[in-house]
Amino acid sequence: MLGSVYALVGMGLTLVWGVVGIVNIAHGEFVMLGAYFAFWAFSLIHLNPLFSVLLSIPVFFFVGVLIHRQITERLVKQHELSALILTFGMSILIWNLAQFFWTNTYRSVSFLSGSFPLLGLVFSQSKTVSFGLAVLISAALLLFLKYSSWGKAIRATSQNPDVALVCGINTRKMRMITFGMGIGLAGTAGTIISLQWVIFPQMGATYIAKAFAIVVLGGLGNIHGALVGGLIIGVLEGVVTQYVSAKMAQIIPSATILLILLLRPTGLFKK
Amino acid sequence: MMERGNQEILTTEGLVTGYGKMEILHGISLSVHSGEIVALIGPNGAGKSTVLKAVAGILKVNSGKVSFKGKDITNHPPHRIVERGLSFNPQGRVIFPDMNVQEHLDMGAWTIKDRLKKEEALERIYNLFPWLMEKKKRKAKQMSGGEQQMLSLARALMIQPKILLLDEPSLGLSPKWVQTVFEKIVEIKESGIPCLIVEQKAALVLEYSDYGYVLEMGNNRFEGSGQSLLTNPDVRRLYLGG
Repeated sequence: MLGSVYALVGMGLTLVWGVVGIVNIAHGEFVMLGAYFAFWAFSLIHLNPLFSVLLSIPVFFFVGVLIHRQITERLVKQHELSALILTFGMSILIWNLAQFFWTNTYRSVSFLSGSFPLLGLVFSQSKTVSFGLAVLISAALLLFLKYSSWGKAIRATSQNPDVALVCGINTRKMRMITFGMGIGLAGTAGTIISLQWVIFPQMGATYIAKAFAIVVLGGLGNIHGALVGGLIIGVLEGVVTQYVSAKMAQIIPSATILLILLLRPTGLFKK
Repeated sequence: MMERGNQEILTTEGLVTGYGKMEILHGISLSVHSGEIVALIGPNGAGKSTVLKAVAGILKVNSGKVSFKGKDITNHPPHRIVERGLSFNPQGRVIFPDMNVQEHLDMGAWTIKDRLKKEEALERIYNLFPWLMEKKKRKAKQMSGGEQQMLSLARALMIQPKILLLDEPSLGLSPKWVQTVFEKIVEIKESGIPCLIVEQKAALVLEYSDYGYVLEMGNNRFEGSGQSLLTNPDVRRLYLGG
């Protein structure tokens, strides 16, 4: 069920990659910041983590917009390597700052730690709630992109920016909004992750690895692919953890990337 | 000089622009009057497409002036220029491959905020291109090159522009589709929308044009009515292949 949360992270990464043309290596750091956001809100002002999830959507969207305007906008249409180097640096800076201010102590949000039986199976409350939230947010994102006029304009910008420009679409603005959405998805995924997993400054690395596997699996820039890819990675991890070991489960992202690049470089789904 | 339409819709005066430090246009002056199809021809690298990009605000103008309906629009952002009623169809596959016909027309109407006006525009376009109605849900990548070109024309006409700029509308099309496209352009002109067309197929576009400009190496070389350029011995020898 964690796969649905991975899908959120992956969809954010692939959206920004496809529309803005930036590979955001620091994407995982915003997952980490989202998790800390929920943690501090919970421990300092006793904010219900579910409320943090809701709140994190606009907060991280705004953070993303700000970062794009101030920093990443200059990477648009530049060499891909510039974006890689800049966002890599951003990644290191962010987790080091997190380490400096919040120390390496593992944190967690103790909330909804109970479980409930259903149809003869036992479900953890927090996992079920996470799954529900992630599905809800994914569905909202897909519907937004498919049917709203802004969503259409974002797809248009992704598929042919030159033509989007002559339609009178402010493509700069669309890129800014998309970057905001990408960071918003990462941050929100982080708050959801905090409901059930430990929080520490370097946690972003795990999630960026999974997100890359998801993007490669689903096809670059393919949102639906990322959704399915996230679920696949999640299920694979669950199965391997259950039947082999949790250690082995950690090689899944890298193994997936390797296999897909060897066997089907365009991803599982043809775009 | 022959008599031209009564009203100047679009003019450029001494347009200078280029990419980075490389100057492509060294001072282009031209005008499009109401009710005209104006051709912009010349050899490769003459700067024909560059003129359109500069006019549409996609390329920064270094000096000179672009006026549209009497207002200076030099270096305005592209979406502002579209809002004023200038529609530009760039060269190549001017489509969103994974979007359907209806979505293309929605995007064409992006600058129309009024829902009722949007509906009217759709109805007008489906009247002008009846066959698009049946292919509403068809994705652009599943259409032929000719159909794609027509779709992009339809998209560009959604805002009911005051002028239409076309960059090589015949590119990559079969002779039959080329004729269909040009007949549609004449129909568009007759509905009151003047067109400025860049074409590699110079003889063809001059047949349909009221006026034409010949560019060479980023400078104005010849101008005159479509017929006069077609019969001009210098133009024939240099650009129309004898």
